[in-house]
Amino acid sequence: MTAPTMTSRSPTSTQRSSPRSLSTARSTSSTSTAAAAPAEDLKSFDAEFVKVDRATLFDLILAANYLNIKGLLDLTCQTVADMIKDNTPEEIRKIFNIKNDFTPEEEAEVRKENQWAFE
Amino acid sequence: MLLSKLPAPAPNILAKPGRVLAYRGSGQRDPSKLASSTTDGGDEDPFQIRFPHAILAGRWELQPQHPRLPSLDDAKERVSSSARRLPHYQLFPKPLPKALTVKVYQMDHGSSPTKICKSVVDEDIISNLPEALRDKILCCLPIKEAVGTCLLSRTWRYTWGSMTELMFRRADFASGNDSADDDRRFLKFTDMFLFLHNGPILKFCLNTVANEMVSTGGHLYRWMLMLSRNKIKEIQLQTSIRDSYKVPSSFFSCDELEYVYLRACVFTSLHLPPPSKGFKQLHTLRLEYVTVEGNSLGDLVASCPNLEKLNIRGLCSQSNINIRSTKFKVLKIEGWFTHLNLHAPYLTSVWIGLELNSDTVGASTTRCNFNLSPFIASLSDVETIRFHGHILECVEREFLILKQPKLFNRLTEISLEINLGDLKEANFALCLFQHAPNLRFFKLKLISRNSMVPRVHFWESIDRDVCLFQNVEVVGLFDFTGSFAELGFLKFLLEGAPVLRKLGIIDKGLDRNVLKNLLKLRRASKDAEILILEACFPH
Repeated sequence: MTAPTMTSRSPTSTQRSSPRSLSTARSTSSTSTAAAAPAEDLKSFDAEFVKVDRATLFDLILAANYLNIKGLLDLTCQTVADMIKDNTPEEIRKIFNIKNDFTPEEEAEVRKENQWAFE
Repeated sequence: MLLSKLPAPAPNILAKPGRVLAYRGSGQRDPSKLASSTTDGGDEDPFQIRFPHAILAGRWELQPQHPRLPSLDDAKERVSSSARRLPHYQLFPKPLPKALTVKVYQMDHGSSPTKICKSVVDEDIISNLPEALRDKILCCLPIKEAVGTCLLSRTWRYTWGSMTELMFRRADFASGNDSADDDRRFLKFTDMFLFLHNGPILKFCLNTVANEMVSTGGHLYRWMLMLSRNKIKEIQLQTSIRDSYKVPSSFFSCDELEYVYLRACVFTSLHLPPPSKGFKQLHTLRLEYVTVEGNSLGDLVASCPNLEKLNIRGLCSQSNINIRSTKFKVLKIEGWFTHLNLHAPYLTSVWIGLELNSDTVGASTTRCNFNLSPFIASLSDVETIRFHGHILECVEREFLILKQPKLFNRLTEISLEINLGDLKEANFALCLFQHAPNLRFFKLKLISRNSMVPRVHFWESIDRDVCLFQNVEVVGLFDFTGSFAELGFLKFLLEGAPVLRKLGIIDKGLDRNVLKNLLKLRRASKDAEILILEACFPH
């Protein structure tokens, strides 16, 4: 490219992720018509597809949401959910860079409020 | 309109190698402070680009590599024109947090691309996703962990409270200790969750089958009441068979239901709503091991004008069931029933299966009233027909009578459990085959009963000139015993199926001679492959 290009991280025109998601939408829809595609291959394709860095994963989620691709949206959201699963809140915060803006009193209050969920 | 009120920086600032930083804040910024707050401490003049649209508070990266860069004005023009093309601000209903850095880099060939990614990785993207997407991510988690996200940050404190799809699994609460204590914890968790939940619930799934949880007791009634107040669209209650309950009346107040799956419940006529006040949006009803009293099932179907799919397994009924619908596409009824009256002319798939109680002595004493002839005669667009169990056997005095020129042009698949030696049943099968010119695949599970009955020369005596199985490609015959009638049918089939590809015979131990004769039978289709497989019986 000789001219400067602008890449915005806005959810609609994520230029890095849209080609990737469009190509996968085309490939999965074409394989669904060819009934011979074995489930194993599709599963491993899906697993490989979401092995990206977190930023790209979120871009994929937003792109799938905007382009209304249900399969991709389900896959990517499940991948993020799998990252959250089986981790303590502190670990989750570390993975996703969530800032803990609770004061200690607030955190104690939340724990008490939802004590029934931690039993 | 897009430029801030800062003095314009040097005109060809982008032509200089190095970094240019732009800052976008939600308010006015002191230019002198900008320079000190940039992470790289660049000494170029920062310029501020401010956009009126909330959506454009994203990350911008300017990736020019070419030395012949356009002037700043061109870059600004490009930014503003692409900004105008982005309409989807509705994906960001909430304003983004204020301290969002916009860094505009110019990459020269020496600098490493990872420096651009660094600021991206540091950011908390997940909390800034639109609410609908965060909700979706939480719905993919087990419910306990979803509630556990309340501890992450202030943004996440109540996100779990607006989840729209709930799945409560008793199996998640198995701790290996006392099962009654786990039951109690599960019930308490579900009660508290629904109590504190705030917002519409679109889908509610309950699964207590795995641990055979004995009794949800009164909890189910309270939960159903709560759901009826919450615009529920889909209910799946996979409860254990031992946990039989009467369908609560609050269930019938869930006006927006579209999909229902209930198990081990009892429908009585007493608390059904009047036909005018049924489920207007319900399109799929799936029931397992239900007991139906009176014609409550028929009444329920009549009150759901858009019901397209009815799937019942394990139906228990002693009274007359009268189901009429012009919208049904898929119908499956399997169970123990004595009277069934069906009228659904636009079905594409039918599956009727009658099971007999094991304490019935001999099938001949059981009778079932089923309007088989008129029912099948009314089907015009059917694609799949399945009659399993003892339905063909028990239907009283019914010879299938289909008037010509009635043809099932779309019927491609038939599956029957049939006794080929019984005249009534054989006639049924023949009639069906005669009226299905496009049949491609059929499968027969062969039942052979009293060997004392005199041999029926039914299949030999059929006129061979009319080719019955013109399009049949695949046939399966299960529990083949090589009886006279069955061999007669096989001969009839092989001679009349010019495009037959595969014929699978699963036998219960055939005599070698029978097998040899079988393979010698004349075939109309030269590609026909006969596979003889032995059934595996569990020991």
